[in-house]
Amino acid sequence: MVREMVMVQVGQCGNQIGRRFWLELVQEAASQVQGGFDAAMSALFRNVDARYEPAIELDVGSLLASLRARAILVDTEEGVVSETRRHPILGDLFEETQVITDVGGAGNNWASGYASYGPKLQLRVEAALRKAVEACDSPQAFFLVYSVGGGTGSGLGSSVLELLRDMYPDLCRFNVAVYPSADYEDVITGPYNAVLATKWLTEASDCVIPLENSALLDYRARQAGLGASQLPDGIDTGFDGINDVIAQLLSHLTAGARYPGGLNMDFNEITTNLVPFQRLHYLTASFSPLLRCNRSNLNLDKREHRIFLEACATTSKLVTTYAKTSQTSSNRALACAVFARGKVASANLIHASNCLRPSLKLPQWNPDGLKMGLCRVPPLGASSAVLCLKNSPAIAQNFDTLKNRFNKLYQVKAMLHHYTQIVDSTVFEDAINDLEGVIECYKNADLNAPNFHV
Amino acid sequence: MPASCVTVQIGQCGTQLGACVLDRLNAEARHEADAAYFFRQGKSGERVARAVLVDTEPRVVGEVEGGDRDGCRWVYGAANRVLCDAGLRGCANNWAKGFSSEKEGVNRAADVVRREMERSDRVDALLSFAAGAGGTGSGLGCAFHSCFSDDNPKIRPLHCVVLPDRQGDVAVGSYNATLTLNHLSKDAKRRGGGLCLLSNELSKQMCTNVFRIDRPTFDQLNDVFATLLAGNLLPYAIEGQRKGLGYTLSHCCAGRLRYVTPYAAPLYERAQNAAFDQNLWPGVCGELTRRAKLLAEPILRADEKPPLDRPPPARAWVCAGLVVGRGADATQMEESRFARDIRIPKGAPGLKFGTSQNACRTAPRSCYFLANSSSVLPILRHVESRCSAMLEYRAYVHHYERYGTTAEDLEKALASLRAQIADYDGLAPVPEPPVAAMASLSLPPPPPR
Repeated sequence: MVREMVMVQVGQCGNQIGRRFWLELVQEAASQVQGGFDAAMSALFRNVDARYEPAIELDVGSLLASLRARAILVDTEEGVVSETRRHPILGDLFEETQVITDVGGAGNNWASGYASYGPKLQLRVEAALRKAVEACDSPQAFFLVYSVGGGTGSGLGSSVLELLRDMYPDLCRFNVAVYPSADYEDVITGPYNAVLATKWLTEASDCVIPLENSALLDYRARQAGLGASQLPDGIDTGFDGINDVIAQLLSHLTAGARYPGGLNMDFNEITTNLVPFQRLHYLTASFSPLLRCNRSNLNLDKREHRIFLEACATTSKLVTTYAKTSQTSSNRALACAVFARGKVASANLIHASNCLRPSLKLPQWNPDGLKMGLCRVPPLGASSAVLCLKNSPAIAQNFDTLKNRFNKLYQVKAMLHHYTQIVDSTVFEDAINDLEGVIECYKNADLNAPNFHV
Repeated sequence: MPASCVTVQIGQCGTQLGACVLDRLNAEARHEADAAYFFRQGKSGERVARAVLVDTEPRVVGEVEGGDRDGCRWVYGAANRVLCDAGLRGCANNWAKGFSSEKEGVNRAADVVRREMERSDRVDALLSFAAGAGGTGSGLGCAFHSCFSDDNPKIRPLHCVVLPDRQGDVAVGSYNATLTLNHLSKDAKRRGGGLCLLSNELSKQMCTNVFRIDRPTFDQLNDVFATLLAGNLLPYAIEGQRKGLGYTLSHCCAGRLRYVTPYAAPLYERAQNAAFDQNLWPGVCGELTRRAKLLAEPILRADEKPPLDRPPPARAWVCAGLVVGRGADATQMEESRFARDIRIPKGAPGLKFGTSQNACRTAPRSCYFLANSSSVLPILRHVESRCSAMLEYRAYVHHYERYGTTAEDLEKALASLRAQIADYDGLAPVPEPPVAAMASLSLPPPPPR
């Protein structure tokens, strides 16, 4: 009995990330496979006999026939998804029924994605989800990957998230959301889309990991600066590098549920331990080692410890937080989880966690809030890796910046007519109030004020 | 009719710990009469543990095997691994989720245990292992025990619960622990059994100080528990009559005081030291009482003296206990040392002494003590303080409410835990005057000739 997960990729960004993710997974499975379709592969793949129509499902333990990914690809235009399906390795992973595309695109307009394409594609999305869930023995969680700055990802993604909440309220919905960076704007209506999508993320999602392009680029630059080798398939075209990082993050997150280890960390345990209050579920992720650079000259213990500290350092974060400039919210966390993969001894993990604990400044009501997980199987390209997830009030800074950018546009009602043609302007009011509420809650949580929970 | 005891291991921690304890029991019980309490004969002559493994995911339960020590193999019964679905997802460190899981899985587990019980003549005790701070061992374990105890009210349970007593690694661990302790102590009271709280910190301390292992692995921590428990669980004789765990529990646990703590002596730094053991009974009993009489054991190395400026550690009050001496000359074990060193409040059931001619594998003379003493207070207080700190802010409560355990249920469980702490505090009627503390440092009178 395996825990299966279903991945839902929405929009251009989501599908590009998904492409790197499935590549990573296929390579990982290839390096781990011991001669058959085992339980770990079954978590994210299906094994089918494609000679028949419809294909016959094969159980865990059978020989590998054709693999199909447990994924739904959704987009409002065909280009990106077609490119995935034409890929030499990935093309076979996705069946017709898993792909939902339309023509026209959402035009960087959240309202178009949510209110126009949402209802239009709803039946097809429902059918695809139902089929994916029925193919699972015991589905554990949904992963949604999309960017919130555009139109399809944010709008249609919000609609799909809401649909999942209504169809399967008991299954965990985990989001990886790519937020528009603060220092440059590539989409003018980005703040509108992001704030609107954030309201849906707060309400309908169980856990969100926000990511930012500028932080990811920094991370990637550090990787390159340290002499990182090329990506496995030799292609490094712009976004591919940072999508690779996100793919590693997702693979690391799901590794605990797929592979065995000394301290099993099942997927739902992340939510239970890291989300103390329902609306405060935004996690900051940071990663180490900067993968794909093997520094095998350091001795093992020291290396592990270093990996650990690197992982939890501010500089390794995948979302920029303005922790250094603010007085109140520092590097503290409401709850933290550390997840190690590879040849890490449990005693070393415990010891390193205890070294980390003082800097986290866990609140007085959550002194045990450091969760540890250990998985035996190392990631591709490194002998061990550590992922650190923190529920940190510093994320309120990011939301504050987003709120300011939103207000700059909203006060002069710029670009608003594109949205009000489709949805009511009260949606904007609700969304910004909701965001302000979340910022307030996080700030109060940081100051340990009583009754800050909602 | 010889009695036997069935073991139930729930969750990852429970499975691993239980396997370790059963392995030690197999090694210690060299005589078949002793082994029959926990094992039965298999088809090819190997011992089959009277044990059932329960979990919500197949990884750990599938991996753990029996053991082999000194040529005596033991295995788990073929049909004794139960996988509960728990609502098709793991328990996510959530007591409420484990507790409210599908009744079908829990009933299946109870069926398997019943079938295991039918293979023995008479079952007088149930030994269960689980972690209290996780989700499966705690929540699903409580669901299992309430289902099982409805059908078997006469079997005395000993619930061995592993808890963190200092730093835990599960954020909601204290909620899970409070709910578990509340539920299991009610269950134990109804059926005349008890709870044994095992603390990871204590085990770690013992590893560092006694066994000289700096960074113990989980296996080594479990080994320490196994060392403390094994000798306490095996059968013994009182005045010629064979007694087992059922009798132990009936004596040690009374009224509202349901917690027992295991002690063992001698503990060797390395197994090889046993060959040079010259300890006689006074030495062994002395080592035991030295540990058992203190509330919070500051286990020091053999050559280390307590610092002079620290006040002497508080003394524990033992309301009931069972002492077992194992060795060829066990009848010569000194009971007077216990009377001298262990504090017993007036009117309490006190200590009973049992012997066994079968010596332990590691030592020619060894002594074991299962005490219902106030030494559980540090763990209980720790759990209570963590839980109330979190509950005050209602942190994480929404996870529990989703599965039917409200904040009020948590409050009630916390209140009952506080009542238990008050009960144990009440064992020591008056605060210790300084004169008595001085007296404990003086030399004991020489033994009578």
